[in-house]
Amino acid sequence: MLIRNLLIALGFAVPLSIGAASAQGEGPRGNAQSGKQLFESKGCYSCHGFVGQGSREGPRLAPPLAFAGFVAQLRTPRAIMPPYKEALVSDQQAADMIAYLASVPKPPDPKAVKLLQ
Amino acid sequence: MSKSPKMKRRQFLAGAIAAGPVLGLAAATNKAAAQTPAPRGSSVPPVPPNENVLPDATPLTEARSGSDFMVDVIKTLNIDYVACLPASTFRGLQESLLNYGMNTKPEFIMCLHEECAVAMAHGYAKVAKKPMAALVHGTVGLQHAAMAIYNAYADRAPIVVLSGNIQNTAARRPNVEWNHAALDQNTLVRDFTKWDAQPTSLQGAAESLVQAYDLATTAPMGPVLVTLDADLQEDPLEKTEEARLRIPKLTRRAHPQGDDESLREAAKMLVAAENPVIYANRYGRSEKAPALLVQLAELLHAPVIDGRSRMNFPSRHKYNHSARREQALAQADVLLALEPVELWGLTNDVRDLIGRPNLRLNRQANLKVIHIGTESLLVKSNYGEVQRYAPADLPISGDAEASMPSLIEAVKRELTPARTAALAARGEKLAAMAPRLLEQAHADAVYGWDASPISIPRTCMELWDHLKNEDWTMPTETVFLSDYPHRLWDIKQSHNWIGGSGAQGVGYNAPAALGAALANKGTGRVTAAIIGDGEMMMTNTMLWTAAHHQIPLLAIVHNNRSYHMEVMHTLRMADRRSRDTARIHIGTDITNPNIDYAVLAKSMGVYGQGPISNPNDLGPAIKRAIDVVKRGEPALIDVVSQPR
Repeated sequence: MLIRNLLIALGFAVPLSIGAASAQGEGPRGNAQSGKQLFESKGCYSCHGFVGQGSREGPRLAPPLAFAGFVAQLRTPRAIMPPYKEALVSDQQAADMIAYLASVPKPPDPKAVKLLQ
Repeated sequence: MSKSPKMKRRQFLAGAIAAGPVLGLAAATNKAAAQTPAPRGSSVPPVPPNENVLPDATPLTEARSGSDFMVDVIKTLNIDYVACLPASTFRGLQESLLNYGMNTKPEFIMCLHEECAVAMAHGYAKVAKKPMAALVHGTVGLQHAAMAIYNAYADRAPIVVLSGNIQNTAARRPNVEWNHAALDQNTLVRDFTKWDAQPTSLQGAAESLVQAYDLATTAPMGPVLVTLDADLQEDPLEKTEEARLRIPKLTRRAHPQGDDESLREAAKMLVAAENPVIYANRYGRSEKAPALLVQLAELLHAPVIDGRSRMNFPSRHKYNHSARREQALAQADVLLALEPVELWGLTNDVRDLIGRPNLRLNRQANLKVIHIGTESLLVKSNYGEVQRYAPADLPISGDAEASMPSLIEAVKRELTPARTAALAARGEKLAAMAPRLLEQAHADAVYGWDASPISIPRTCMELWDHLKNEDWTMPTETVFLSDYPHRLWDIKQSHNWIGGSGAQGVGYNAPAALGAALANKGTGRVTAAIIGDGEMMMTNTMLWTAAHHQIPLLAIVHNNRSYHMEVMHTLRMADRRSRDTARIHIGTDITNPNIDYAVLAKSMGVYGQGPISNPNDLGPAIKRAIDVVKRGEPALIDVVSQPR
């Protein structure tokens, strides 16, 4: 719930449990391989981690938001995230990043991780 | 002190070294000149005899020196260690500590950089709960030490910094000794020491050393500096003079407490509040501190937000609501801030946006703030660690931990049975939230669990698996670890965690961890630190010190191959200006070549493993390293990591 609250605070008024298909439904079709490279070269990893796992600096992004919400946060971010205007990240590149985040393997159940017991 | 020899020893040595070869040459030349008349009309005048003839009475040896007396003084202070690297301005004191003091109480800990020496003392003080000394060279050594002293000052950590100087300009040998001396070298760090002295007599040195210790260890604590003049160290100490010297007795004073009337008023406000919140930051000064705060929180049934400049409150206590800091603070009608350091920041913020807008955080309109702390008792102007002024509704000057027993008693007196029952009902709701906070931490931790580079929570939990059944200390900052140790680990005791650097001067974590390990040496405690790669490279010579003195420290390098904070800062600027983000790695990344920290460790005699990129390799590596540490030796693991 904390992450959900945080995302809502950041302007993501969408459910968390969005699958890859619906995540890309509203925008261009993305390329996960390209998205992975972009996620690093555009610096997204620096706050959100290489697999979008999130950190103290930025919320978890995997599984990703739908295209409209994702792009809205990129262009006119809430809170302290810096803006990524069209000149920096095109809609197609945003779709690629969404595809990448959707391709990140689902995490294990915390109850199944021995070190977390 | 007596200056009875016609020429002081330092002057004699300086003359002997400088003039020795010249004297011989002059004598030979004069003899030759006597035998061979100078050519008529020569423009070369004869060489004049050396003007400064050494008196026959100049002593060549001395039985006892001023620095022996200084050691007598230092031994009264119960200082176990002095960290230093050798330097000429304290050569007299060094020799006295080694041969007269027999290298015990204090024992030399050799460092290879003054920043390491002071940072080591910083980490040591927060675990040992008492200071050690750091001995730094005059001027240049003090300049090296300055950033670490600044950290300790901002962190209010007690350190006795000693230095040397040659005050007497006529006693300085040409060149180096002039460069390594100053009229007032303490001014270098006066802005960020609690107190400093440059005594000009042995009696003054005795009083300064004891006073320095007294001031350093009385809240608000801080580093102190005593510069000991080389002549005072090296000149002979005559029996007649020594008979007149006195060493002041170190008597311990109570830490300043808040006044009773104000604490009673605070208790009334807290008991009457509907949603009181306790914020503790630099509160936990001693081993007793967490238990006292638990007592207060359980009396009030109030959530505690830990600012984590010290170990203040058990991480898994039902009232530790640090993970929902903003939600808790937003609901508060009374906020008790204990040594908050940044009182203004509890209710306000400056957003890192263009124009740096100020904003009032989401807080209740009727919020009342009680501030108990020593911030106002040690204030200097030049550096900004005092931070922005924020008036409290009830400001109480006094050490928060020292004030806690009185506050607890005042709260007890205010509690009626009916009010106690009402507060307990609030407590049940708060307690019900606590398991969910841990569950959320677990849910966050599993994202990227098997990723490479290795995720921070994975590293933290692999380490925790080996610490959880030990008595342990994790002495390094957790901000760059996304606070996962605090979210995931069961942190109970004061020595489990000791807060951060104070002023965020890079280079603190590695030597401070070693200082913590030194304090734990021989206790059976395992000291395990997670240290950023940028931090490690700033002060990596501490590895040699760890090996040389066999100090058991497990150093896990959080190797994200960058100064990652600066990656984010530069990225923010590029994003703001819609410019290329590809170049942000220039001047921020520590790659090409990648640094092999295991090899670095091995080169200095420390057991090293890595680089480890596969998370499944990490647990066994930590097991092997812990075995080394339990044998009393240091170990390092290089973990190729996610950024945060």
